[in-house]
Amino acid sequence: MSYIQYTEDQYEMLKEVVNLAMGLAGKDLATILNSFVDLSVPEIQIVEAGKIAEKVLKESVFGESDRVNLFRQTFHSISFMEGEAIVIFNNETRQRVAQILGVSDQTNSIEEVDFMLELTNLMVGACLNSISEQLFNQKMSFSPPELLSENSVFRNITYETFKRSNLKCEYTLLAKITFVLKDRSFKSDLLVFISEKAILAVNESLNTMLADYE
Amino acid sequence: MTLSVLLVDDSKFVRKGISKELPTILSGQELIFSEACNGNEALALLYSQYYDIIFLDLTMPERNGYEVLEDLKEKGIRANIIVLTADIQPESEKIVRALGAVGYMEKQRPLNREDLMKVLQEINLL
Repeated sequence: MSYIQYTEDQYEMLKEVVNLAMGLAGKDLATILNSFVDLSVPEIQIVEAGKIAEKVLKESVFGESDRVNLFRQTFHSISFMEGEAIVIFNNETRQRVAQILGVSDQTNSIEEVDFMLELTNLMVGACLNSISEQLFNQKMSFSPPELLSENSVFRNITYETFKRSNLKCEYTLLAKITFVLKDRSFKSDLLVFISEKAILAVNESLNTMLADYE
Repeated sequence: MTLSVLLVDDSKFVRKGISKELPTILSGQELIFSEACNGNEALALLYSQYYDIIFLDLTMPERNGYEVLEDLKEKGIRANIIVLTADIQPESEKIVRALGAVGYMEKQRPLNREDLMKVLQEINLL
């Protein structure tokens, strides 16, 4: 199978683009949780569809046996930038968010999910809008976030979600951003999957950006 | 006058951006640039040599900018450190200033010249 590969310079430029986007999402998250968020260097790679599950498991902040909740949101812009984001929270984080927001005593499972949907919307929106603005000078359009799975074993749900027969693409540009609170009571992976078609559009935009540094 | 400048960032494009812009602002001075692409490299250089200005990123592999500042503070090494970062949480600036940073600048692409001038004024280099 042949597909486009980015050069080292393109990856480095894209990493800085995602780094700026992560900073904005981190700021919004820190503000809403009223806590300091530890940010780490984002991971970015073009990945073959058959290897996505393995990659997600290997680089995650979660252990394979952790119980997690997955939320999904799709995005697109008129510049062929399209794909989907999956946000993963563990059960502890889900409960902790309700506590931080001061509603833990009255919260039921449906309300907890609503909070996490809001958080997904905030993280994905801040991050993807920034990426799109930097690359294409445009805002994104988003689908409403949805709950993909709750209280699932991370390893099982990852293989189930990313099994080859579920995926329409041959490969994807995967960016992984991890958000962790200092006391580890909040942990989340934000996975951004950029479509095959968009990989080419991103490639062209990166080349334009790189030309400024020649 | 000659100024030694250390650029600490895992992105070579950020390092390039500063080394291109800074001479146009500090035009009367000779600038000698050194670079490090992670916290460990930065500390090795900072232990062995004095730099007049250090631009320090916070989110880096191996050892991040917060850890670099903590290490320097623990060892009592004083340096003119300007934090240049995408980590723009409300607490970030407070934390890095408490750890000894003398300036704080939000990362933008391209580098914001006015912000750079403002931070250089803050440390009396302009």
